[in-house]
Amino acid sequence: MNWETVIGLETHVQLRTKSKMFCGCSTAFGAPPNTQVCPVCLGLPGALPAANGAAIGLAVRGALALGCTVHPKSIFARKNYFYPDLPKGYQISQFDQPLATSGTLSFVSPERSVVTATIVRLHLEEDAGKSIHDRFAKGTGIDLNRSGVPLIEIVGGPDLRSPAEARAYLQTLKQLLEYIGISDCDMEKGSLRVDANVSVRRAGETAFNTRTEVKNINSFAYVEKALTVERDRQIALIESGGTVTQQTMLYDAKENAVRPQRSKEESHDYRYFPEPDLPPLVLTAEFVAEQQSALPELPAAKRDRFVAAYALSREHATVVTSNRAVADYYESVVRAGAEPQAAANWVMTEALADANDHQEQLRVAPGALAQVIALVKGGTLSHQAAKKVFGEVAAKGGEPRNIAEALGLIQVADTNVVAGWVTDVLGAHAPEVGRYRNGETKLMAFFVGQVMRASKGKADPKLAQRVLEEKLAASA
Amino acid sequence: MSVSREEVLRIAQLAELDVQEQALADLVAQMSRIIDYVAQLSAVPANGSVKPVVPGPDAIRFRTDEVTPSQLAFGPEEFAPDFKEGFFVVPKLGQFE
Repeated sequence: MNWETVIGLETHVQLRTKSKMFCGCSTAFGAPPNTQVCPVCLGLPGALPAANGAAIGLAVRGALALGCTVHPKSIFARKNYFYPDLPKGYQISQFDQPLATSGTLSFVSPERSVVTATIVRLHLEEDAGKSIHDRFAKGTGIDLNRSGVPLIEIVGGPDLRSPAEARAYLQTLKQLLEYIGISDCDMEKGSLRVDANVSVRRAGETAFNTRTEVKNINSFAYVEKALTVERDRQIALIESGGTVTQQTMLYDAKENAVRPQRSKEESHDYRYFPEPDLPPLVLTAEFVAEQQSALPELPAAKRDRFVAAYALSREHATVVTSNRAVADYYESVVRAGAEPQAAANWVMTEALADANDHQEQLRVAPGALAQVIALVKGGTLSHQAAKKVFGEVAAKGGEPRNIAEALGLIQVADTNVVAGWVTDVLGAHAPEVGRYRNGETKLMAFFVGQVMRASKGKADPKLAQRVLEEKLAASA
Repeated sequence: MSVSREEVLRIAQLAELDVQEQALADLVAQMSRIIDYVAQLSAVPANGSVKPVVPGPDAIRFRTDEVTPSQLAFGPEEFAPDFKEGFFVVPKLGQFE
C-alpha cells in the first residue's frame, strides 16, 4: 500500500527585541531564573500591558518577507488555559483577526524540486515561561524569564509531503528570517520552535484524514526523525485495523518515539476573547512601507542575482547565499578584485570550514582573501601554499604576501631550480619512471606531487609538470 | 425564560463549576435576565453612523523597545509558595501520559 504523508508546520519565532512584548523586562537569554520578571509578565493583579512597537515592526517585516497580506487592523485576544508556566492564566495572542494572512514560502524539496507552500497566517503573541522537569526530584521548576518574550506564530498550510520536505521547509524559513534579521532562530535556545500537524492518506486520496500534533521538536534533525516516527505509527495503526485519533504527541528524542502528551486541561476550548486591556492594533500605510523598505534583498533573489551577475552555478550560488553574512562576505571578496568563481571556491571551502571551527566567524578579511586568490592566479603561490597562508592570516592576521614570504612559500618559477627537484625525484623513483615510460602516463600526477613535496610546496606545479615531461621524454 | 435548566448545567460543566440543584432555578432566572437585556441592546441601531463607546485610545500606542523593568515590591521568593534555586517549584508535571 502506498501512503502519502500530509504535514503542516506551526512555527513559533522569538523576535529580536531588547525588551518583552508587553513590558520593559529584558529578553536576554541565559540570565539566572526569574530575574527578568515584573508585575506585567508575572501576571500580578492590576498590571497592564503596553505593546512593544519594535516587536510589531519585526513581525510586519516577517509577514512581508513571506508575501503575506498585512492587515491594517488586527486584534489581540486572550487564549485561556491553565498551566504553571503561564502565570496570568491566559496568553495574549491573536485569534480571529491576525496581523497577516495568505503568504507563501518556496523551497527546494528533496523529492519534488521547488515547492511553494502556503502560509495561512502570521500572528503576534507572547511567549510562556519555561518548565524544567528534570531539576527537582519531587517538583517542576518554573522560570518566567521567557514569559512575555515577543513571538510570531507562522501557520503553514498542509502542503508538505514528507518529513524530509518538512525539514527543508523549516530550513528555508529559518534562512529567510535570519536574513531579514528579525530573530536569531536558534532552536537550541528555543528561539525557533516548531509543532507539526501530521496525517497520512492512501496515494490518490484527496481528502485529509485525522491528524495529530507533534510537539517538543528541538532541532532540525529531530523534525525529520519525529515526523518519520509519527508517520510510521499512523500507517502501522491503520494497517492493523485501528484509527488515528486527534491528539497531541510529544517527541521523546532519547527514545526516538512519540507519546501522547498529558492534557493541559480537560477542554481544548481556549475561550478566546478580545484582550480588554489592549485596543486594536492599527497599522498605518506609512508604518508598513517603512518595514518594507527595511527588508534586505531576500535569499532567493540574492541567489538568482549571483547566478546572473557572477556566472555561478545554482548550486554554488545556493551555498554562497546560505546566510546573509556569508553572502555579504563573498560580495566583498569579489569587490576587492577576486575573480567571482575563484572567490566562490575559496568561500565555500576554506572560509566556511574555518568559520565552522570558530563560532561562525569569517576571520580572514575580504581584502586579504582577494589577495590570496590574486597570488595564486599570478603564479606566486601554489594552491596548497595559499591554503597555508589563509590559515595563518585567519589565526594571526597580517598581509598574505608578507606571510607567504615569511613562511618561504613563494612559488619558485626558476626553471633551473625546479629542474634540480625534478632530477632528484626521478632518481628516487626509478620503478615509477619505468612504468611511466611503458605507457602509465597517469603517474605524471604522482611525479608532480613528489616535486611539490621535495620543494615543500614552493615549486610552480605547471612548470614542474613541463620540466618532468621534458626530462621523461628526453631520457626515454 | 430565555435560558433552560439544561443550558445552565452545560455552561457549568464547561466552566468546570459544581452547581448544586437548589441553585439552578436562581441561575436560570439570572442568566435569562442577562440574555433578555442583551436582546434589548440589539434594538439599538448598529449601522456605521453609531460608533461604539470604547474606553481609552482606539488604537494601540507603541512602546519604545527599551529595557525598563518595573521593580517588584519584593522578590518572587517572598510570595512564591515554594521557591528553590531561583525557580518557582510546582508539583511534578509529567510530560507524557
